[in-house]
Amino acid sequence: MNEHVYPSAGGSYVRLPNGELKLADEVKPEAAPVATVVPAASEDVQESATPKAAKPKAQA
Amino acid sequence: MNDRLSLKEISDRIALNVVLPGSTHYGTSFDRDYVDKIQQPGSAMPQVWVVAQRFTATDDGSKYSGLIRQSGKVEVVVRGLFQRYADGQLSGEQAANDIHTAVRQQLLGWMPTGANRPLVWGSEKDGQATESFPTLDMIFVTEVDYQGE
Repeated sequence: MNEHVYPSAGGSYVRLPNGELKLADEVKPEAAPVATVVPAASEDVQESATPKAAKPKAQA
Repeated sequence: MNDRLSLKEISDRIALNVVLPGSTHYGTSFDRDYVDKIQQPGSAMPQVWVVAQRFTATDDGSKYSGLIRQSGKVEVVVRGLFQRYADGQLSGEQAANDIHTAVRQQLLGWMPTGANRPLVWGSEKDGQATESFPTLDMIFVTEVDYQGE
C-alpha cells in the first residue's frame, strides 16, 4: 500500500508561478529583500571618493 | 489496513493538483527539508504541509470471532502557512481562503490508500492571531479497520 504518486526522494516540492512542479532542492530560495540606500550623486561625494592627483612640483 | 495512512500520498495529491498564486511549497512534516523550509528566509510562500495524523479506536474489538478486527477513525492535519502581507496582495485573509478552498477541493471526498471511507471535514482552526506567519490547520477524517494478521 501507500504507493506514492510522485517520487520525491524524501523532500518537498515547489510549484513555480508558471505552474511547473519541481523538487524543492532544485529551487533556489529567493533572495531576502534588503533595504538599500543609494546616496544622491553629487560632486562633493564624487570628489571625496576620488583620490586627488598629486600636484606637480614646481621646478626651480 | 494495518499501517498508518501515508502523509506523503496525501501531500502528493495536494502538490500535483493545487495551484495557488505565487510560488507554493508542498510537503510533509517528515520531509528531510521540512524544518529548513519553514524557517528559511526566502522560502516559497504560501506553504501547505501535511503534518500529522491521529488514530482513535471507535470500538474495542470485543466482537472477537477468531480474527481480531477493530475499527477507528484517523484524523489528518493539513497546515497552511502564508504571509500576512505579501507583496502585491491586497487581502491577507484571501491567502487563507485560497488555501482553504484549494485543499478542500482536493481532499474532501477523496479516499486515501488503506481508508474505508473518503475524507470528510473534522475541523478547522486558525493559528494564534499573534503569529508572524499565520497558520491554518485543516483536519480531515476517515475511517479505517485494523485486523490481526
